[in-house]
Amino acid sequence: MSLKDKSVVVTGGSRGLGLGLVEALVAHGARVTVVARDADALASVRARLGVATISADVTDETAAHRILGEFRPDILVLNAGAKPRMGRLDQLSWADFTATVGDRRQGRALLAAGGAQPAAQARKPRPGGIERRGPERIAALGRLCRRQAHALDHGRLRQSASRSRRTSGSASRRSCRCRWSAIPASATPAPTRTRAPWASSPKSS
Amino acid sequence: MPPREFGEKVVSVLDDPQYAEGFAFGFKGDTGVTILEGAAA
Repeated sequence: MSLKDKSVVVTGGSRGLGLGLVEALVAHGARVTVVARDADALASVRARLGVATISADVTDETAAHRILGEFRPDILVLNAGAKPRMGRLDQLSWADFTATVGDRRQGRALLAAGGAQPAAQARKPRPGGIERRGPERIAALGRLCRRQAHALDHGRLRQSASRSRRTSGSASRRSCRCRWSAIPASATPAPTRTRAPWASSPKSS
Repeated sequence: MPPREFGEKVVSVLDDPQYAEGFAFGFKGDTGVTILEGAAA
């Protein structure tokens, strides 16, 4: 797959590994859009490499939908990440603990958005008979674990399947060889407490 | 690995016919390239 004239969206591409990747993609002729929060760093990248830039927080689902809808990337690179605050446990806040979790949810938002967009071009049907929507390929740099990526993608498949009036659950499972749940987080019901059948009945007072 | 070198590594995977059937890839320093979905040729 030649990268020449391919549309690529890189999150967190204003510095570090993301910037190195943007430089490499530009050198190979790709049309790159960089998404990051720091407007000054983005301006520097735009001036130096001639890429399109968007100043946005990718954990914002609205922004994610807008970015994917506007640029219709062939390749999506999920690189943005938050550096967790380190310190003694009793000195860390809940926000410190959940920062990296929120960071991972960015990928979920972006991928779900890709599923909601109309197909940019006709694609080969998947084994389960579901036509892919959104970007052709996704590269997740470090932050997404295998299990999360599966869950994210299944959420997207379910979305596409239900839109095409297929039985979404079975269609997702057919195309899946993993053992993890195919239910997107947004559709996951709140956990309920149930008493195990072997547990003794509560004492009545 | 310097950022630019890492970028070239990712590009080489995206450009490699061996990974043409892959859809989602994971890149980590300790595990290398993982095909999260799709099959390698």
